[in-house]
Amino acid sequence: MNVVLRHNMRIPAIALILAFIASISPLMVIAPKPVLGAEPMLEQFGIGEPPPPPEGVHKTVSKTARRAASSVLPISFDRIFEEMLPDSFIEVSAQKIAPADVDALYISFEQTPEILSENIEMGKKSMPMLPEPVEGIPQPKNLPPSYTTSIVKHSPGIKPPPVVDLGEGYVPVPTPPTIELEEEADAWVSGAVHHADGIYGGSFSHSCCSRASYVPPPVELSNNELREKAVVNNLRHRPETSATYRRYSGMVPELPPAVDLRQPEEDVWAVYDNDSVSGELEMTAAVKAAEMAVCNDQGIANENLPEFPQSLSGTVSETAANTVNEPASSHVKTAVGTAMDHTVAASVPAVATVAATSPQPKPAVNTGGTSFIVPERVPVLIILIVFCACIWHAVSKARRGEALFIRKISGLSALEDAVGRATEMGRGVLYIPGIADMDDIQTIAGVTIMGHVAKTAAEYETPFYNPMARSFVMSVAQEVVKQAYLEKGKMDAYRPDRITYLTDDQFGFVSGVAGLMTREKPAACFYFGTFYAESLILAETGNSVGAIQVSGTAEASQIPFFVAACDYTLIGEELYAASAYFSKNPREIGTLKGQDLMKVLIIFSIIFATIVVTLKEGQFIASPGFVNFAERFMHYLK
Amino acid sequence: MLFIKRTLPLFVTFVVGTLMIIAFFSGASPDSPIKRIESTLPRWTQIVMAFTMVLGSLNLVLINLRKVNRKVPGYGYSIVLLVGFFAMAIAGLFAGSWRIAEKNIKVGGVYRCLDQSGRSFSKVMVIGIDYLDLEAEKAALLKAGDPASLETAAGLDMNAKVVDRIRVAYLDKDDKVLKRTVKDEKGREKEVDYIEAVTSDRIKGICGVLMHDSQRILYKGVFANAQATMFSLLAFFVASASFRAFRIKSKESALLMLSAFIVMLGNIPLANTVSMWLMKIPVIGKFLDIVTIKEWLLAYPSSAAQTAIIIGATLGSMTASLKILLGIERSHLGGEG
Amino acid sequence: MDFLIKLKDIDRRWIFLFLAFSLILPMIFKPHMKIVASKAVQELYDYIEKLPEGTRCFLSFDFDPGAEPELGPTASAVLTHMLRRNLKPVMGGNWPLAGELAERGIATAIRRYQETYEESKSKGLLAPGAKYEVKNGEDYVILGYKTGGTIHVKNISKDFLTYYPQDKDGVSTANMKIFQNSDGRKFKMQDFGLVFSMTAGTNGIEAYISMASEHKCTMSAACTSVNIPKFTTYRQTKQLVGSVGGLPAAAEYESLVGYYGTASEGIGPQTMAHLLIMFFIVVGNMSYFAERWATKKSK
Repeated sequence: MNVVLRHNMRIPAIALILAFIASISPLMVIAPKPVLGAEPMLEQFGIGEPPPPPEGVHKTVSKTARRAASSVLPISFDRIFEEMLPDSFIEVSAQKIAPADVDALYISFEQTPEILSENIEMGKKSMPMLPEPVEGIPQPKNLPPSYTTSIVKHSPGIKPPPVVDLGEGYVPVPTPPTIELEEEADAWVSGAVHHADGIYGGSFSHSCCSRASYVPPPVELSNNELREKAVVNNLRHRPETSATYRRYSGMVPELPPAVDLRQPEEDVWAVYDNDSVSGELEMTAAVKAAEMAVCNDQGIANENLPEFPQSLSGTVSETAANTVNEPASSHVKTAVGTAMDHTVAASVPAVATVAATSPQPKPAVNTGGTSFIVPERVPVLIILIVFCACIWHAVSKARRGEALFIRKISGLSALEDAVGRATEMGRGVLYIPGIADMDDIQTIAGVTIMGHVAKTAAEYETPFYNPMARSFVMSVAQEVVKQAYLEKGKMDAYRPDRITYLTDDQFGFVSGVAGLMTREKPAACFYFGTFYAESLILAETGNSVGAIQVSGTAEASQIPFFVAACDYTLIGEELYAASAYFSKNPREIGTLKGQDLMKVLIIFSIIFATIVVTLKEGQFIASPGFVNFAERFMHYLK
Repeated sequence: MLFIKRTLPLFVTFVVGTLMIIAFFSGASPDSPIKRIESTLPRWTQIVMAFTMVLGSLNLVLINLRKVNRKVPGYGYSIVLLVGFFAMAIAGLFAGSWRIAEKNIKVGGVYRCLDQSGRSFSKVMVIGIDYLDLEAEKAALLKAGDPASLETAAGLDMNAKVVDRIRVAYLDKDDKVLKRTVKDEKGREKEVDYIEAVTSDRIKGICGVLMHDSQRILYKGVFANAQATMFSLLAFFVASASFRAFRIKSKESALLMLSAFIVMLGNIPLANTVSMWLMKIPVIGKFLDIVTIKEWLLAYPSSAAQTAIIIGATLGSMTASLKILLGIERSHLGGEG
Repeated sequence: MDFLIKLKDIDRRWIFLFLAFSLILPMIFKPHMKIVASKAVQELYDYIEKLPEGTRCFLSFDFDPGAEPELGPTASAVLTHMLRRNLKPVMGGNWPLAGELAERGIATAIRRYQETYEESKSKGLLAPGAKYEVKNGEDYVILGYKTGGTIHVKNISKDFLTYYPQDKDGVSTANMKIFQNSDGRKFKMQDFGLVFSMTAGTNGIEAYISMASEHKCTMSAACTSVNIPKFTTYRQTKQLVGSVGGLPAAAEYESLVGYYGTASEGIGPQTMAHLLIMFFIVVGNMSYFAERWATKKSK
């Protein structure tokens, strides 16, 4: 019989393991999706083969940005693991620029000239995924010499522009390395954005600034207009890059240096569709969309917006002023620019503005003050629903009459014996349902067990002492104990004055109880509920008067004290199981079973998450798809 | 009767619980009814709790009065309790600031002014009373524009006189105004009258001073010390409990004791010395850094166990809450579940 | 052997007496012990060390006088360190006596800072801009206690100054120098370089952690010894930058800051008490084994 049973058990177990392996196996084989049609474009630049895909060189983007991006882009944003790069790489960014018909990934690196060559060698060794600057790509002339841009992949539907004379196309603005003054930088910026179709990017976390840089190629649109894109990258203000700042962007010197990247994963990128009919840019709308996206990410209500643009206006509103009503790219001109955002330097974690594709301007995400459900709480809701389903399943099983096993909890079984012993010794029983108020679920559990103990005490007519730390619990306890005595027909033995309120003060209460214990010398002491530092004082005093002690609490920090000083201790959830344990009511036992089912689910998700994170961190599977999945998974789990 | 004792509470629990869950997930604006309920109900709880406080105090006083009256054994303790209760209550009630008392503060009167630290009093004469500019307050509230501010603005009684600050001059023993030196704009020192604008709660009469001081003596001298004493008892109880409980009865308890020793050692500076000795053991010596092992123990085995207990307990509390919400669990209302 | 067996039933008052001596003697003789900082404490110290001058830091005093022996020294040590680094502590709290405890903490810190000003200047411990005079409202401010716990943290994350309109003494915060940004922007919670809570129980750092997505500040915490395992977890998940757990860690922080304060004084009694408890555990086990051996033998 035993063998058969075990055999029976084995099948579902194996099935479960197989299902588990099957569920994660697709993740293990995801490879970077090859981008079709990259070749023609690359050929245009004289590149034979595309460089290797930038695995692992990604930038984390926030959930709003992902949502926004995935609503617009065919593929999601890539991420940069900045921490993986050597410090000498001042800036790394990876962005997908994806108008409806463009799908391109650009990666740009900026390095100090002296270490450039060294780093390329080093980069090759330490990070094989790091793309080298590709020869043949026309480098923008006005960019600092150390700036290299690589086109990594490109998507179909892009035709090279008829005239690609990037060098001549530049706006004649002062060359970046010579910029010293803020005004010049501003001029440079406005010159740059003047011809830019839109701006990608943002300003991020603490002490950083935004920077617009050139990203080829121009895109041909249906109306034969060409337009360029400017990308605003984030350049974080770290000590080692601050010099770069001042040089390129005219950053104000008093900008406080940031300590470090605060929460890189919190960067907010918003994508905004903005391709108005005549090519006019509606940057104001774009700015608004970005703000809304940011506000949404930060949980700031829309009506509180007015403060927010201040931090943004420095950059983008100016941009807007320069670009609105400008015909977008009636001639080929490419821009290099730096957009500064002085105001974000100290505080605003993230701001983002993006240009360009769909006919109707629309906000990136639904940021309205009201929504059906709070988005961050969706995972909680899912867990709640799963939990309810587990309980419902187990309860209905119990109701059908299936016998459900409940293991022996020795602490609860000992209650009756302890009361019996007290009766034999002619001494009383002391019961404390914790020191928290009735709004604490542990107190309710304590009061539930109290009803049971009270019945036994009533049956044996043993004095039942209940000092209370909360007056509200006192009145509930009086009711519960009275009911217990009533049920046992011992109303004449019921003494409400033994259920007394002492004080709310933790240690005042303890000294009161300790006094009661030494005077009355109860033969059994029970502590069920929330306890803090007083746990050991109570239990040791109880021990000194020779009482049998049973305790139960879900306060993890107090369990050791109870275990050390009491005869029996209910640990954590056992406290809540008491009512089902005593009543043997199938509905209640069903809920316990449901709880166990949920625990199994949690155990599996912990194991699963551990595997996923280990694989992701360990670089065993470095495919963007997997990394993306792992991050999303962890995000929801958090 | 059963309806009031059982059905009604269960019904109220269900309705309120469900509403709160919906409100928790709802993304409605803060003005919507559901969100208003969410913010209002906790306030109701506070009010109910405040009433139970009265109930508790009454219960305590009555039971102890009865004990004294019947002269039950140990009624002396009850007398101590009653005296303590009333002394603390009276001192506490009158030591604080009463807005009503503001009306009695007269310009020209000599009072005592509590210093910033709340410890000592100085003799002062009231030389003027500044009232709040209610018009400005109202304008500021209206400008703020949020519902709470608007409500407050609407409720302002424009005819009322609300004391803002009281200007006092510090006096010496002979009731002469004290002087203090200040620097003017050019950095020159000059003597001026020692005048200060203070909040009204710092101005007290002789009776207020008495109450304040007795409250301080009771609170800082008795209550705080008694509290600290009880807390300190923990050290003694830890010693006796560990003496009793840490017995190597099995392999597990041996392991437990070993880790307890390591953590205890790691918590004291002696750990470094012990580690240095251990270092001298060949091969394994360098791995025996007590503090590192302690940190590892806390960070992994201990925190893993704690997390498991917490997950279990949280699930248990979720189940218990659901049971209460759905009325499966009702033994806290008395009687069988 | 019999003596050992008898020890099992030793009156616990003897243990109490021994413990009392082990606590009192080091208090009288004050032995100096070499204290080495643990990783968690060092992490926090390094973080504060690297904060740029003038950064405002929020210290939440979430404890009561009962926990002051453990958390008070941390408060004054961290505050002293901040003053030396020319950081600007803003002190609030979710427990009723937050204001008073903060007052005590900053008073100790200022006294210590000024006493050792020249010395630390010569040792190069001071930030270049650290001045001898420390002004309330400019270099530090005590905001005191506010009710609400997590809800309050949520509120201040959204709008700091509206929910702290006045400091503890009733001075309006709106015009305080400490809350002015150089670019004229309104002060926000995000401007804090560090949120540091000294947590004795509920409504401590956990309130700030649960609202981390709102305020996005770097957080750290001090806790009582009992809570160290819980805080270790937060540190592992990188929700906290370092932590100061209990009296030993406070002493470690004091040693890093470079003075012998109340926590360092407390280390002596603590060491002795630990050793005594360990001794009693060993004695208890010896008597337990002696008894077992005796029963086996009698069988």
